[in-house]
Amino acid sequence: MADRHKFSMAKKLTESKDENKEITTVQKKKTVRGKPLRQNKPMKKQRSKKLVLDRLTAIAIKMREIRKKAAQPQATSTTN
Amino acid sequence: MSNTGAGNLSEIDIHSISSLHEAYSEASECELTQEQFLTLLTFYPALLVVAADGEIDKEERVYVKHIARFMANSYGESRNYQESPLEVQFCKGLFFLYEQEYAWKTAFLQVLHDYLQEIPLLKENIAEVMLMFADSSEYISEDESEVIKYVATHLEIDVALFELG
Repeated sequence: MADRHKFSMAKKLTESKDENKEITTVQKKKTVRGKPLRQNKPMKKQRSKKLVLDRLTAIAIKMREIRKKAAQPQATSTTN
Repeated sequence: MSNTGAGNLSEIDIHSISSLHEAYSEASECELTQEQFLTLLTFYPALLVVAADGEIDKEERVYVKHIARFMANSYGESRNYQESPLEVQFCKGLFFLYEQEYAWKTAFLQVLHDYLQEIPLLKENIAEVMLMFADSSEYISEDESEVIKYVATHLEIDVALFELG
């Protein structure tokens, strides 16, 4: 009976250790997953100069196209 | 800002693009075609935003050059960090307008207003460009916000487009 109890206790302890191990592993995983999150600080408002210029150029081109389209049907417009 | 050169155009009756183009070319000595002048006209509000605090400092000078660059780029004039002749003309034209703001502002906004009545689709783009320049610093200053509202009112652009609150 005492042996069975010992065995049972030992098993419980092992299981408990295993559980702890698992928990530790999970926690480690969280930490590992958490790291990049911590490194990714909220980005400062900092736009690439090139991106802004590209966007502005795209707008300028779009506006030229709109103007051209608008001018087509009324080539003899009195605006000019 | 000085108020010399072409005189106060708010007192001069300029309501057509061709008249404004002609007067502006003569005064600024800028060689822009009418099409290129239209580009300048539609991006004029961006210049007003950059110069919102009444002066163009070193950093804002760079912004003005940006305006000149992307306007030239829209004509396929990009030369990888080298100024194209068109960019130089746009730059010259923008600094002239800045120096002579009081003389030309009313006329430019009036002609642009009339032009936008014909092509209202451009309003959204003008709003976006103004916002991009105002937003290029850490926050939109009170001066910039005031200029945007002023221009929006004059051009009949829905202020809601700017989300200025």
